[in-house]
Amino acid sequence: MIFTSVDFCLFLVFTLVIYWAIRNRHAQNAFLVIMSYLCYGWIHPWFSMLLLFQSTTDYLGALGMKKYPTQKTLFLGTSLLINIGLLSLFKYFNFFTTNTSAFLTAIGLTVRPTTLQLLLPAGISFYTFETISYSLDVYRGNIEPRTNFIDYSLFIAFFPHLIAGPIQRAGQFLPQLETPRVWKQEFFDEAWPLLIRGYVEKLVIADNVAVYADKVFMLKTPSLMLLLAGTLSFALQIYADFMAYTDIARGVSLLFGLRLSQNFDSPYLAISPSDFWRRWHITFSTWVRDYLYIPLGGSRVNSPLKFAIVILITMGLSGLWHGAQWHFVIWGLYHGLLLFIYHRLGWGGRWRPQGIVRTGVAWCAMFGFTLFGWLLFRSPSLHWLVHTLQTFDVGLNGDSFISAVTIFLFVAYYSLPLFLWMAIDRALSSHRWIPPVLYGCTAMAIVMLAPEKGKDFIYFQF
Amino acid sequence: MNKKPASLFVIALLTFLSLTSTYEIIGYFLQNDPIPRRGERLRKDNRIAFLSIKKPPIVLIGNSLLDEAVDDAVLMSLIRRRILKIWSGGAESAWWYLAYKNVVIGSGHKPTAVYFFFRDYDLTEPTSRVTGPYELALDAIASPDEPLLDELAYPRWSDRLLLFLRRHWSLYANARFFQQSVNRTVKSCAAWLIHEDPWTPDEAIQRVFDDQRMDLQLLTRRQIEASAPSEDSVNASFDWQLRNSFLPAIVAMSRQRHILLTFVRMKTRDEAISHRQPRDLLIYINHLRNYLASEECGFIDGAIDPRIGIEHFGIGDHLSRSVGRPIFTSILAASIIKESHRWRSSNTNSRVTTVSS
Repeated sequence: MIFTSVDFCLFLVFTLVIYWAIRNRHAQNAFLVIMSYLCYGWIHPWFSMLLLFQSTTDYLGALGMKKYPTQKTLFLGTSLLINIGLLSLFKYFNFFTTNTSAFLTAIGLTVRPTTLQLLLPAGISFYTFETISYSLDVYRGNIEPRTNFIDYSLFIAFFPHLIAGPIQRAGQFLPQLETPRVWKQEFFDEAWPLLIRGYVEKLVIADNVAVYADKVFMLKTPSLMLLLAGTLSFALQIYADFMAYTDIARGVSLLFGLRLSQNFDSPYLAISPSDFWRRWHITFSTWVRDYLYIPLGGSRVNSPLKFAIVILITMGLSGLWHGAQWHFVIWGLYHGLLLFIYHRLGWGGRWRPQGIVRTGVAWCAMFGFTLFGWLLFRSPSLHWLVHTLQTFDVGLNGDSFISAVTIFLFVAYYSLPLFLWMAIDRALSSHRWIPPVLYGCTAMAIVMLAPEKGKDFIYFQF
Repeated sequence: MNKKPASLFVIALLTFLSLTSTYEIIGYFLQNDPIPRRGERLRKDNRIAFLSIKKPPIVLIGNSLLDEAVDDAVLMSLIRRRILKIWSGGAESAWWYLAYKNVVIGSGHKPTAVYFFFRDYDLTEPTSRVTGPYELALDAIASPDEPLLDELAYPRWSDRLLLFLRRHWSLYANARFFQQSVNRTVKSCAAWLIHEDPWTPDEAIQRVFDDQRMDLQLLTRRQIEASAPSEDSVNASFDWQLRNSFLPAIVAMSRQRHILLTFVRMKTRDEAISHRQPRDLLIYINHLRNYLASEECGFIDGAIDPRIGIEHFGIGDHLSRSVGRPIFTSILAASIIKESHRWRSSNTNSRVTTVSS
C-alpha cells in the first residue's frame, strides 16, 4: 500500500478513527502493530513474517543482554549475524556470487555462480538498520532493553516509516510510544502542511520530472548537454521523491500523535560534502556516523591514510546499502573521496567560507560535485557512463541542444514549489494569510498536474 | 504559521474550494469540456462506415503489434479477400472488447471471421491499460453505457471512485489537459529562448528520443515490466482469470452472430531471444488453448513459430516493417487460407491450429 494510493487513504482514515477512539496507550500500540503488519503484508504476506522474525530476534537478544551481562557480546553477535545475514541474503547474495564468479573466471578458475530468485522485502534495509541500532544501543548501555514486545514491535513496524524511513532510533522513538497520547490540535496543525508538501513533491514534481530523467538515461549515447539536463532532472526527482515520502510519513505520524525525525534540510544548499551529509537523508547519515564511522575510529585517527581508509569504507558501504550494484558503490566511494579531499584541505566538519563570493563559489562547486554523484548513481551502468563521456559530444547545437534547454526549463518549472516552501519557511512564516493560501493553491496543483499513473517511491527499491 | 494554526487550515481549505468551484462555474457557463464523453465519438467512427459499406469478410483487431506485423494490402492480395485492421496503440483486452462490440458488431455488418492479436496474458488482463491516455481511447469507442467495461476494467472500489471523480469533477477530469498546457507553455518558452518557432522543441525532442536512439535492452526490460501479469493473474486459477475477463463476452457475442473467432498469439522479443517461455505462461496458454477449443475458436500460436526470429524484430516487441512484416503477413495469410477451408468443410469441429505444426 503506497502513500499515493486511494487504498492507503481509506486505510489511514479507518486506522485513525479506531486509534483515537481506543484511548488506552497499550491498546493503541497493539492496534497500530496489527495495522502496520497488515499494511506491510498488503505488499506480500510473507514480508510480515520476516519482519516479525527479525523483530523477535532482536527483542529477545536485547533481553538476553540484560539478563546475562557476561554473555552480551554473544547476544549482540547473534543479533548482528541474523540481521546482516538476512539483509545480505535478500539483497546482496546474487551480487556477491556473480562478482566472485567473475573474479575467479578472470584468474582462470571457471565457476558457475549460484543465484537465488528471491523477492526483496520492501524496506528491509531501513528496518534492519533500526533493529541493529536497537541491539547496539542496548549493548552500549545507551538504552534499557524493552520488556514490552508490543511497544518494541511498533518501533520497528510503525507503518509510516517502515518502507523508506526516516530511520528511527529507539532512544528517540520508544519513549513516545511509552507515553499516553491525547489528541492535540497541534498535531493536525503541523501535519496538514507536511501532507500537502509531500503529495506535491511526489505527484507534481518527482513523477513529472522523472519522465525526462528516465528518457535521457535510456539513450544509447546522449550528448553532454542532454546528460546534464537528465542529471538535473534526476537530482530534482530523487530529492522531491524521497523528501515527499519523509514529509508524508512525518505528517501521517503526527496524526497519530507521534513525531518522526527530520530527514532533509535543504541539501542542495550545501557548501561542502560534510555539510551535504548533514542535510541529506539525515537519519541515515547519522546512523552511519554513529554505528560505522565512529566505531571504525573515524573521529580519532590522525594519520591521513587511516582516515582515508575509514571514510572510504564507510561511504563505500553506504553506497552498497542503496543497492547491490557497482555504480552505487562507486557513488559512495566518490562521496568518501570528496569528504577526504575537503577534510585534507581544512574544509571538513562545520567549515564555512567567509563572505558571499566565497560561499557562492563553494556552493557552486559542491552542487556540481553532487550532480556528478547523481550521474554515477543514476547511470544504467558504469560502462554506459564511460562510453558516453568518451564520446564527448557536447551537444551545443541542433536537436540535442534544443531538447536539453527544454528539459532545463521543465526542471526549473517543477522546482518552483520547492522555492515556494523555502519562501514560506524563511520569509512568510509570520504572515497570517499568505502561507495557507499558497498551500490551498498547491493542493490544486496536485489535482491538476499529478500524472494518471504514479510511480513508486525511488527509495522503495533500497 | 504560528498564529491560530487551526484557522490557517480553514483558509487553505477555502482557497482550494473557491478555486475549484470557480473553475467548475466557468466551465459550466462556457460549456468548454475538452474531454469527450462516452458515445460522442463512436457515432463518427469511420471504421463503422467502412464496415457497413465495404463489408469486409475478415476483421483483424489488436494494437500496434498487429499494425507493425501485418501489411493489409499484401494480406488482401494473398488471401483475395477484403480485410479491415482495427487497432489502437497500446490497446489491450478492454479496447478490443469495445472495438468488437461497438465497432464491428455495432456497424451491423457480420464478418465471416474476426482475428484477435495478443501477447502473453493480455486476453485475460481486463484492468491493463484502462487509465490515462488508454481511458481516452476506450471512451472514444465506448457507448454511453458500458456496464461490463466498468465492472471488469475498474473492479476495485478505488478504481470506480477515481472513475466517478473523472466523470463528475471537471478539474480532475481535465488533468491531462492541464498537463498538456504546462508542456506546451514550457516548450514555447524554450522556443522563445532559442529564437525558434514554437513547435521546434517538440520536433527536436521527438527526434532525440526516437526509439532508434534508445538502448533496446533497457526498452525491452521496461516493456517486460509493463506487460508482466498482475498479482491477481499470477495467483489466480485460469477459471478465475477467464471469468473476470472480456473473453467470455467476446465469445458469446460471436456465437450469437455466428462469427468465427481466431486468436493469434504474437511472439515477444524476449521469447525470440531465449527460445523459451516461463512455466506459468506455458500452463496459462495450455488452459487458454483448451478453453478456445471448447468454444470452437481458432488459436494460432505465433509465439512458438520458428520462422519468426530475433532478426525479424524492430523496436521492442514489434516486428520490423522491412523484415518481420512480410514474413508474418505471409504466415498469417497461409493460416487464414487454411482456416477458410475449414470454415467451409466443418463448422462444428474444433479449429485449434498451431502455425508451427
